[in-house]
Amino acid sequence: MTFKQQRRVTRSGRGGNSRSGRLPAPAYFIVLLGTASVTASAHAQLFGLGGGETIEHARILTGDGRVIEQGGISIRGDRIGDVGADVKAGILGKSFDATGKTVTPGFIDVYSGLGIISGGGAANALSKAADGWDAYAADVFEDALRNGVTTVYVAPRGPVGVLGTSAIFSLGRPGGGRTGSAIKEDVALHVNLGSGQSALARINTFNNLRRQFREALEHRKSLEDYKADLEEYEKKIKERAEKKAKEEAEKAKSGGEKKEADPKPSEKKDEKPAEPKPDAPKPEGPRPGPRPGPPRPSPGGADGGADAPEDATGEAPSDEPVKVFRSLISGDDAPFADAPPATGAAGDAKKEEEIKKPAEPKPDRAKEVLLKALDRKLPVRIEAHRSEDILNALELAQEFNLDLILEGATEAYLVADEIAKAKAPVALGPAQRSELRADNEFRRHLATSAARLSRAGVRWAVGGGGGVQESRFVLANAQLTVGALETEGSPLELVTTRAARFLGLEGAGRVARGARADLIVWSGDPHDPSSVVERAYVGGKVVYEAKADK
Amino acid sequence: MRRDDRRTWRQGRRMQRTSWSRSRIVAACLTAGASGLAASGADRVTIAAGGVVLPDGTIGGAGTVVIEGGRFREIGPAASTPVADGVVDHSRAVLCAGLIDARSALGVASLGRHVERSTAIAPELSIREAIDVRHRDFATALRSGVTSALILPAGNNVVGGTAQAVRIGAGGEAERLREDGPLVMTLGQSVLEFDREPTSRIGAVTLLETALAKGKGGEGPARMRAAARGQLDVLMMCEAAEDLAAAARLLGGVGVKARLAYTPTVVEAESAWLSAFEGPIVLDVMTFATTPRVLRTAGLLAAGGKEVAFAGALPYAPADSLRISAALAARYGLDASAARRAITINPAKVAGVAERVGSIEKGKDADFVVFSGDPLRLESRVLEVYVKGVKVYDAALQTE
Repeated sequence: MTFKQQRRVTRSGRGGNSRSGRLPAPAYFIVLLGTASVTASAHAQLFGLGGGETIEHARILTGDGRVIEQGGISIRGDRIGDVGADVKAGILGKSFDATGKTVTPGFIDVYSGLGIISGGGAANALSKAADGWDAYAADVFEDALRNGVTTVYVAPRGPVGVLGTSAIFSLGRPGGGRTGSAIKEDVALHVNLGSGQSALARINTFNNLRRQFREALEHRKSLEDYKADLEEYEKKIKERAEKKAKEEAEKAKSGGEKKEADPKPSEKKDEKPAEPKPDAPKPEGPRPGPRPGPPRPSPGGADGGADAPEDATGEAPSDEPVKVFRSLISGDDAPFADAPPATGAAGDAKKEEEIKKPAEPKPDRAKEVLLKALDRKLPVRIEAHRSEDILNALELAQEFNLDLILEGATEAYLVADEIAKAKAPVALGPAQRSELRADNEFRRHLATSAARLSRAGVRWAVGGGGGVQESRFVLANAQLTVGALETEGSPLELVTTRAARFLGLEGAGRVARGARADLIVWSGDPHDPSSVVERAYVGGKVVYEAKADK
Repeated sequence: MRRDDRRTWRQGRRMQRTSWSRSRIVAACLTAGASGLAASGADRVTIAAGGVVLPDGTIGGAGTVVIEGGRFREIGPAASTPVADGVVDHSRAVLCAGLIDARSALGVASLGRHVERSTAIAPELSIREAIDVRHRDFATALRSGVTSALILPAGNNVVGGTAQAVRIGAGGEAERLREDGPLVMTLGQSVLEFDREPTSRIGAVTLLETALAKGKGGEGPARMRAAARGQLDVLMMCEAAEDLAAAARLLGGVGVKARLAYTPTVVEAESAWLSAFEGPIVLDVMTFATTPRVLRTAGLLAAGGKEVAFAGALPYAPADSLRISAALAARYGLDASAARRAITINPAKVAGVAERVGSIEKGKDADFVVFSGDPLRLESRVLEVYVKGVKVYDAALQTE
């Protein structure tokens, strides 16, 4: 690059930069704050408390709208120490001279697909985004960092229905050539209503979803019933034992000989169908070990896959194969669940003990995940694009009292008032889509959707849209979003402070004392496409540095 | 080649200097402009701009642009503060020449197949016959600041017929910017069909070679003859580096200097191949999903002394795809002014209409956009669009 060209670049940069030159009043506050704490900072550095670097002489965009025209940021561990005009490295402190450069918080994508190995597979509430994180996709992560992205919200994606739980990853380097570590796991339960499907398929998806939530509630009910039945059962066992002890005591007294129990199963008090007990029931209650139950050699289907790995080993005790074989021949569906098999005299002899132990419902971890959502311990993020699907999501949230977040929500502007009433926040995707109106879920995309949501009082944030590549350009997407708003706004704020608030990441997304030290050093203003990232810090450590050639 | 770059830069500066030095004339024009003519529909309009994108792609400071008879009459520095009466005040905005989509499907995309597929050599076809000039996609493009487009036949034929350069006028109606051309040729995977020639890459190359040789010898369709003799400009579309190599050899063989549209799946194009072509190289639209490797193409070509122009791929791509392409390429190494040229003057050169549109320059048609800031910054919005000096879009008047 020639000298002339360089001059040209700088000039053009300034030409388009008319908006960001203002120094708002709160900046002076920061300056004061910085002055007050500078001594503490210096001491910390001197005594080696932080061991981190101090970025000096930088133009700082704090992420919440404030600008420090020239100042420093000290890093202590994975946090930001001090921020202010007078913050400088101590005598022994390490410093990074950022003269002429701009420092911003690392960007947060609230709607990302970065680093997630995508693919087919059935929808399963037990899927965890964290398990799909490809920590070795170094190129992808480096590209994200070189565009300023340090934190991403990732979710299982692909099929429709209940997809599993999401996670928030920070693009730090935990070592071993890996990138990324989960800051938060099981952030929300993800559901895709499949707005791209045909009308009938969408109805089906929604009905399935509703059914799954209902079944989860039924599951809870059956667990509660079981608990009550078990108590009852234990009570009866205890009563009988006492009665028997009493009888035996009486018999002993009368000198009668001992007798085996009555072989007839006469005392069926429990109405519930229960599994047979080949062995003598132990009155201690449910046993933790292998328990004869219906064998499920190939757990398939939406709910069956859930507890497969544990039960596959736990079930089918070694003495059972003959029975299994017999049942297979006879075509019996549940060989162990119904009437007692002919097990010979010894087994029959023990039938006098028959107080039916209640059957413990199968453990169902998938339903337990849904139950967490039903208890509002896990927010539910529903991807829905068409207005009908959005309304369905709102209806579902109301019916089951869910903590709803909408995702994508292309047609949200059409039902903005309803969304506002339900107080559901919206994670918006790409600000622009093709004008070619095919009959798909995006056909009513509107660039000014965010503006309409704001007017209706809907809380929204904007993300990359869930793609693997799009995440790195989350600021560009925010710029387009702001461009379509009627009011002035800061794209940077959208992808830092606002995104952090949206995800509940309190100590992230801003340059402030105590916040996560995820910092980006830019050659110029980050909104200017000619600016490049020179350095990226995640958790106080340098994770990216621009190569010398550019 | 750095020389091209420097020349452009000097031209830009010269332009700047000459026009800036005529401030007295401008002042005179200002007085005339102040005589009270409304912006829209007036024969003479004076605009005070916060910044003007100059022909070399840089942004000049506050300036005054005078339009008369639908053309730019004067471009000079800011004349007075506050802005005089009768002058359109855009002192907080940036004026940029109307954006031009170098490879567009506006007006044809939703009309079904717009390429003949019974024969692979179809020079006699013209895409203009298929354009719906009142298609609403034109109005949508206009709202995003796109005032002109080169509409291409789909690249399914080795010789696919002529493209059509159009300007989008008031009401979003397209009009021809030139009568015909350029003639579009394609090499790549998409020209292969199983039920007609060519069915293979070798077949495609041979077919084109034969057609060019025939044309050179005065045989075959008229447009093929004209193209082979350099009387009709050619836009060569290549999908991969090996297509580029073949095209360079074939066109070089008949002595045709074509313009190049190139899908940068690879950046291995050798400069020897590229030098077989003239003018800016058209690169495919860049999106948020484009890989870093492809995003770097524009910067690398520019570093090799080549000018680039971006395909907006309207309406398949989002409305702001031209600005998005330029901004992303800038982030990946393309100089900001080169990026601005790549969506204004360079596509005009590709379409062969650069003497009329593509830059804010004296004598050119006054097709321009009033942006709220640097067009490369994606938060900048389109405030107004003028075509031939007439305001055809005003964001302030829009109702949702």
